[in-house]
Amino acid sequence: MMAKMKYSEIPRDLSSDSIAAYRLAQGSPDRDKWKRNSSEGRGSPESGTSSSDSPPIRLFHQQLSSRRSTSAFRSHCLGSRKESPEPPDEVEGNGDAFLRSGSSHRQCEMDQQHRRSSRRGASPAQPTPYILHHSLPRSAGAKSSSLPASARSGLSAMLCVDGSAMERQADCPVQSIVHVSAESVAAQLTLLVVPIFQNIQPEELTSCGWCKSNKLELAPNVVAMTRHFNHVSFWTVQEILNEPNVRPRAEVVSHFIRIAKKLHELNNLHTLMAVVSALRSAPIYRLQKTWATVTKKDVQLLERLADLFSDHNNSEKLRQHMDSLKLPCVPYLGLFLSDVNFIDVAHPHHGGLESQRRQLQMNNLLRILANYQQSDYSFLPVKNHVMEYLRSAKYIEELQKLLEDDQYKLSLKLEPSTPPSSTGSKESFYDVKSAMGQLNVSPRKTASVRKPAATSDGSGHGVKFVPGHTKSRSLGTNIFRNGSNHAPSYLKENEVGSGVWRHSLANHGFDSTLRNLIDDSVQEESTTTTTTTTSSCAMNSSPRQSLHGELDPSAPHNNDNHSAQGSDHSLSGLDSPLPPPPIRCCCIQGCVRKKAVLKDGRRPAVSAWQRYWIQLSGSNLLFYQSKHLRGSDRSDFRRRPFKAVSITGWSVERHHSPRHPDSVLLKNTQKGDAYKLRIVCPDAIEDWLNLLTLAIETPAESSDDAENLMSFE
Amino acid sequence: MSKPGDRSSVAQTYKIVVVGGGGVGKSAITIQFIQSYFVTDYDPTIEDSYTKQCVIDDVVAKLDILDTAGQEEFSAMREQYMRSGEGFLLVYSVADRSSFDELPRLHRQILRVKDRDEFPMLMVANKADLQHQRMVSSDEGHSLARQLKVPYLECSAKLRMNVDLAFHELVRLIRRFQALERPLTSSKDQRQARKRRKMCMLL
Repeated sequence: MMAKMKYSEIPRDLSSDSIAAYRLAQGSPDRDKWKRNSSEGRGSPESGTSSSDSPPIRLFHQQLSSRRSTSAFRSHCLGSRKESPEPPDEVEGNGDAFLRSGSSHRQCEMDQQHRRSSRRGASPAQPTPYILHHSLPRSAGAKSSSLPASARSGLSAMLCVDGSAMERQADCPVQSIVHVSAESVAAQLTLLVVPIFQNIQPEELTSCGWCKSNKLELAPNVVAMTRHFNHVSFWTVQEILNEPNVRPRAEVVSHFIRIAKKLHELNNLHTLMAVVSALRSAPIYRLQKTWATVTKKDVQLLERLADLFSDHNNSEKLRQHMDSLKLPCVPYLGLFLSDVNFIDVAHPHHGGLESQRRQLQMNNLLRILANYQQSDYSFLPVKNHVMEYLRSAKYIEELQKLLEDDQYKLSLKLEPSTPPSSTGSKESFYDVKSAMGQLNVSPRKTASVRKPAATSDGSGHGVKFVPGHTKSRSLGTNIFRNGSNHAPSYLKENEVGSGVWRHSLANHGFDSTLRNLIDDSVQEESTTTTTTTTSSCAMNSSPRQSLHGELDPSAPHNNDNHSAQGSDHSLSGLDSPLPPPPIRCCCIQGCVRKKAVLKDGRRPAVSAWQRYWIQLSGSNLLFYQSKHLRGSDRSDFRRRPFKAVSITGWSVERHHSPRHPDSVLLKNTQKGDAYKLRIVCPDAIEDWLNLLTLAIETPAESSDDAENLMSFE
Repeated sequence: MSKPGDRSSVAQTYKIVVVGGGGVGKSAITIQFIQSYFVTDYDPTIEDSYTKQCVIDDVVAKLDILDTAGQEEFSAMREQYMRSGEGFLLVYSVADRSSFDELPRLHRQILRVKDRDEFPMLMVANKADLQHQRMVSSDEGHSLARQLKVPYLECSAKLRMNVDLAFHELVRLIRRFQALERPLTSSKDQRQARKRRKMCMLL
């Protein structure tokens, strides 16, 4: 077989043998596993021990480390630590430093709280072999393994808020990606991905575990590789879109092309593919003005790099390139995944003995991969400040789809589509409209919308078309269902629609400080965490925001009421002087802790107990975010509801768990969402259960709810 | 890729992209189509393992199929490979509602990448043989197809039902579309044109 021939040749590559020998000397624990899978000893990477080819590698190392730019950059950073000459640019990565500049004490508390909650949320069964070896020495190992690797390591950096906070703030002098040499970025990105790649176990592939629902257990490293890929890609797009002006934006683009070039030189094809994908993704690809400013040379370079990943003839070029290159190399994992997937389908394995063909083909792939895993990138210098910068940019995986839309909208905002001119291509502004949702597009754009096309409405987000979803703009009658539809409403308010990205830290318990980055509103009182962060943004910048102001006067009364009662829970409709609308419809309210158990039928990656003040009104649950870290009085929560959920048709049951006997399980079977609510006041749980049961039976009154919320006006 | 008559002697190549969520049986459809009878000989790593020549409406066509099964989670690269497609099979499994719910998003993403308000696409409901596990009814499928304005087809890769038909129908759609938009389409020509024009960023 053609492919087999080619593959068996690879290990004979001398450089790889030398590296294998090197690893042998170091003692590589994983080697034996692979050995078992290599069917042909001849082809196994351990066969040769010639070290004749090692000098070139060292040479490369020397070359790299002796580059002037590297040391120059180091001194630049040191310089900036003392003088900090750069103005505090608007760089998302600064979130990290920004956070630290706040009250470090409170931060510490929040960190700890988050650490506790994330531990609780983590599945104990999940292995954590993909903890990054290159994370900072202070990084604690036991983090929620459900977080993406990069997020976790970033988190670990943030968890460290001991006395060195100030120092570390100065330690992160990276203000913008263009100030870091492409070489450094490429090297650090490679250092981030290599340990994950090397940890991939053969079983992760042969089981096709990454396609299954328990992929985190079956294929944690494959999943981590995928996350790295998506993360780098979204980060690239975001870095480019963060630049509001054309010329600087083109510089960022060029910079990323240079980074791509360096990644290519480092044979880090996985990350290279991510960067190239980003540069050719819809939001970047369409930036006509920007591309016109990028030099021809850079554009051609990108074309060449993109051509490498051309899918023509079954990724012929990429396969050939991979066959020809010498280690070290991080291959594009997706290619392997596809191949394994096809082998799995063509030669299915139903237990028992594997068919010979399957075994043969799988082993071929595994052997190639094992060979690449011998790659040694230890010659790359670790640069903590760059690492930190890279890690500080993160997003929440659940919001990825939203982020995609978000970035496209931002792209449209930066360079609005123009009517077809020279290209003669049929411009479809229908896309624009679909992307913008209910946004007020500029007249020119709306005018040229070709089709109102129901196809577009609510099409994305993996949510079926909801006819009345314009309502969600007001306050979100059903946030769980329409959560993503909220994006437009906050984007409308938002000058720069990168809310989700910026917001990324929020899920890790830093909502309060980041909030102003999201909607540019005045920094509000601290809140702990929000699960549906998107909806929270939507609320915060929703046009109706001000309307809730009318609720405010009532709040002091509310406080009095509660503090007088000394209870954290009250049945309203007593004589509590609540504002008229809540009184009219409010059945019960109180402090709860909420945790998402299922989201869209899946266990959420990040799930923690969060405190809310909730209010049952009709069939709707209104959620109020907490203002302080603790406290269960009404006054400890915000006055404006942060979301409203219609629970009609849901199911309510008492959740009998030994640890939290007072919890209620609220399930939206239709959508596959489930939440646990812990009623803080244990006496009231029966009341809650009864009233919730009543509420789920009452017919949907989303319109009513909208009315209620409207009546706040 | 090329217009008929471009290379009159050679069959026209159609770049077909199969999209859909994980586990909907994309790869099964592709393999069934490519390797009609000799699945055992199938090797996914060789260069021509995803091309097939066939006669559709008395005209020879070479189908170059891109199926990124297994890479569903690499969402960031989706747009990149969508760009090269001339026609798309939107596949979902009738036994998996979430794969059905994912289609509008994919549909929109394709239109966005293509910068069109319509594009040759065919909605394929796979695993139609699993009647007892069915979670998405034909009616729902039809109504979504109407909404997205794409033709709808039920198939079963396992029984090899409507597999060829799906690809053939899509080629017909592509032909019709290209005939309508001749001066505007043909990604390869445009790619070349773009090169000539120093990378114009609009398709």
